[in-house]
Amino acid sequence: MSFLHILSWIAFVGLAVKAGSFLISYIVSIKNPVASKDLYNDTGLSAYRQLNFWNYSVIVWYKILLYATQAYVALLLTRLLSRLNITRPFHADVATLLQRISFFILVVWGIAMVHNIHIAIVDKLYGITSDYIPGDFLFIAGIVYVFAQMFKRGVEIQSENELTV
Amino acid sequence: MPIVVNVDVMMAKRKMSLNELSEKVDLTLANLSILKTGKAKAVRFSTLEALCKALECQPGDLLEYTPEKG
Repeated sequence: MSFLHILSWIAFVGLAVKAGSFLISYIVSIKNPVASKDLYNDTGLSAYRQLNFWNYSVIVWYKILLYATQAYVALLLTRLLSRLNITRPFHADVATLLQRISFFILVVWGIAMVHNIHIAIVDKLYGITSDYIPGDFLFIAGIVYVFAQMFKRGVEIQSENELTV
Repeated sequence: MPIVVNVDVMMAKRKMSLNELSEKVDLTLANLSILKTGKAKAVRFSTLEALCKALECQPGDLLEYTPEKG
């Protein structure tokens, strides 16, 4: 469990750095369009910058929001793992955190879908292609939500068991 | 909860302390306190049996139903 805790912290730091790098690169590229070519780990966005600044800005912001939300999910996971007690696992806080995680994974899916639609429209109109973000997040959000509901029931059963004399 | 546990009433009738009852029925003071304060969600038959034996009473003397208002 401590290994998972460390892993989730690494994921949080990595995603936060990724979101921050995108943001800083974007700020630099506002004044210096050439910088958009070297935008963090993604050189494909410079074509959007040349086409239209607002299109480029919106697409970059999708990515910043996406990574920031993913970082928040990782942060929630670290909180969940620090509160999780295997000997007495069903705690109301854990159930709430699970539900919140599933909601934010759904938000990530929403951002990914809006991003993909935007990319597809630009592709159709101007022929600029870029990588699509996979839509698996909806499935993951659904699974986590089911676990959250099971946990909620577990909390009820555990409290009932503890109050049985 | 419309079910009221009258353990304290029976204890007073039998002039029995909480510690004494705890020893007789083999329940912790914490669990007896849950029972006394009405926080219990369920009572095992074995607990009820032990309580009836220790307090020399019937289950009906320990449990009472009072309908909720409204």
